[in-house]
Amino acid sequence: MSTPPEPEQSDRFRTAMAILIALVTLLGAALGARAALISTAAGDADFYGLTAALNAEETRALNTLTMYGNYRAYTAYTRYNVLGDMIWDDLEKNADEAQSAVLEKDMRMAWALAVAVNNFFPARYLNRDGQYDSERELGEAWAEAAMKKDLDPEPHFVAANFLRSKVSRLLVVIILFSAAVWFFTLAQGLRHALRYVLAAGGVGLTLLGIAAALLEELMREAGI
Amino acid sequence: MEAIFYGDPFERLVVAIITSVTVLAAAVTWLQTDASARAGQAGRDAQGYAIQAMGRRVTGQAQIDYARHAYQMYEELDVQALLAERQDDPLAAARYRSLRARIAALSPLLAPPYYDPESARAPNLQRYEADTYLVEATALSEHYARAAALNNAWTAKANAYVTHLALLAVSLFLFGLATTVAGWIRWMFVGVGLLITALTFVWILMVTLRPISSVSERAIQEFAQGVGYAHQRELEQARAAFTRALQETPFYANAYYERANVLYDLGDYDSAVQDYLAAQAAGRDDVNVAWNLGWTYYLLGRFDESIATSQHAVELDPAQVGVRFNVAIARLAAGDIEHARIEYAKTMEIAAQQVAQAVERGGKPPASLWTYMDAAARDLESLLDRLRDQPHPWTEAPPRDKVVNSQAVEAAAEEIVRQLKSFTTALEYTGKPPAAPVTVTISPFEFAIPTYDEEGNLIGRTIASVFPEGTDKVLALFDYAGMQDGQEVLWKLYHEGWEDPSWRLVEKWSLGETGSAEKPFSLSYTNLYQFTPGEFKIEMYVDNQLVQQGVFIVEARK
Repeated sequence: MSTPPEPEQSDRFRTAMAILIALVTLLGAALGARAALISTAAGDADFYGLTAALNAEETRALNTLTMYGNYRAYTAYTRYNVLGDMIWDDLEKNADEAQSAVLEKDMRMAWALAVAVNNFFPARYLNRDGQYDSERELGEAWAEAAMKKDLDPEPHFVAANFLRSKVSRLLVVIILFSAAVWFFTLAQGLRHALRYVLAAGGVGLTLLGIAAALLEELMREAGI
Repeated sequence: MEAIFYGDPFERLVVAIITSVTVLAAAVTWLQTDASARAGQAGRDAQGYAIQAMGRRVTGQAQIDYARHAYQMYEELDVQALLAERQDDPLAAARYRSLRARIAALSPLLAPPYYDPESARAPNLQRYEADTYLVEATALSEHYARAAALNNAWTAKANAYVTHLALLAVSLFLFGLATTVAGWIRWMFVGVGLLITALTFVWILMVTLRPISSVSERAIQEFAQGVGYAHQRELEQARAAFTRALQETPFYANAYYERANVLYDLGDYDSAVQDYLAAQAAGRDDVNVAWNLGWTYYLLGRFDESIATSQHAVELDPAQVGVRFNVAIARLAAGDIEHARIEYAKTMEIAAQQVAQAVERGGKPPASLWTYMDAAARDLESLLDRLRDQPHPWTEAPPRDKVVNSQAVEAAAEEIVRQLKSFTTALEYTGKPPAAPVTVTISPFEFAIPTYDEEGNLIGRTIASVFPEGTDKVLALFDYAGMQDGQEVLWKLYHEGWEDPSWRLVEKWSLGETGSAEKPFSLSYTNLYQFTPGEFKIEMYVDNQLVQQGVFIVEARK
């Protein structure tokens, strides 16, 4: 059984379809490579985010432990210092010499202990009213740590989520391209006039895919 | 066909099929990537929550640690004020009280709603812990669990899609192969390929449409509140919170488990069993659920179910001696005395091995081991209390009428508890099981308080088993025979069923072979403290073996 000779026009159409199939396949492969790169970047962003989260919790825990250590020393300081002040008040009201001697001894001991404990917490966090400003200590320690290491995981996580959704959108474009290939393949094999409709469908899907891919890239440029 | 297609119509058909399957594969790739991305995101969230939960617990505990320190100082100042008052120094007492108020201002624990300075009650540390960090840390832990579960579910989907892609690749291979051969076989390749594609397509639909459920945010918040209430022993509020969490998410296994624990504490064992079972059905089949379920069955007198469930817990964690003791006591209460003895002996052997291994490594056995050993003895004593119809407020044992062959069980329990106590003490002090039994004879203890004349001279003793509140010294009187000087004697004191280790005393015997002795238990040296009302039990060990025990009671003032 012999095949009838192909008209020249049909040959040109089939060649055009073959070129379009090759082109769209190449575009799909390029998008696939791009999606893989973005996916890797999303993984990196996750890693940086988790590192920042670990830094933040470690800093918070260490700062809190240090602060409460200081606050404990401040509590002991308060105990001795206030006790010394109270004995001083009682001493001033007391007339009995023997008792005064005992009170004075106790007062000096209390104040001496207050001075000794004073070195175990940073005095700069004492307010004018003598209260210890633990919030300020924590705030300063956090600010100091933030200058040395990344303590904010949120931007990294936001970036990772954005990159993942971008990969997902690029894969939708690849599906559009594979559908376009499907149209071109059918058009290439058909003798019927329907082949032009299929070819038009393929071209439409290809253009839509290219537009979507460009939009994705522009979104990246715009930082959306 | 030739009028429609160029070339071989079969080949054109196959090309069309291949292209169609490729489109399907592209769609599955998208689904796989999406599932994989969601899994990755959930995994990352899980790690983030785990880090945060751990951090919150550490910082919260630092806060609690400081609050306890402040409370300790507050109590010290109170004692100093009391002592100053007793020494007729009201000025000093006033100073200490005033200073106490200053210290109280440094920690929220020492102020309402956690503490009322006018009340004699201690600060509500549990409420402070719950408010400070426990509820928040629990919520973070639950978020971690939810994210980890989501990670697992999405990973399973992503893996299923990978399998789908592999199947589609096989069918594509068959379609390609069909174009290289002739005759009926090429139709067979196409047919098989289409069958694989169709089945895979159905599977893809099933995987895609299968929903992934997770615990709702509101359920997590209610659950965390419930844990906070339970920590404060606000059991009814805790139960209500867990119920709300379950109304939000009916498959919330942790909420069933925690509600079961609350129901257990409320004494509603039947409902607790239902919730433990529900927790298992919802996917939480771990050693803790099985352990608690087995114990609750035991308390209900459902011994067969208790044994089976506790054995399941042993399978989940074979090194856990505590749950092995539960198997043993359930066998005992079921009247299977011989097997119970074997189970106790086996578990004691495992405990001895754990201690020997720890010593061999140059370390210490886990402290939890002693807890489980003491608990096993306490459980046997509870069973004895129940069988003798003398329950204490802390007694936990099955109903008397459920115990099979109660007389024999009572005799066996009495013997085993003595063995267990001697075994635990020997293991703790020597690292080995007890050596040969000691042959000393100690008469049952009599208890007495010393009596003094008006000038404070000792004039005698008043023997009794119940003493008034305010007692600060009690003597244990006993006769002994067969003792040897230099033998190691250990005294233990229990208050309301729990040992107070601060009273533990190890001493060398120096009173000769035979005679009478009195052993004082005293707080009189403090000039301030007295025995807290309640039941006190004294145990005497010679060469680490229990030789005698006795009980006295300090009555609360009416």
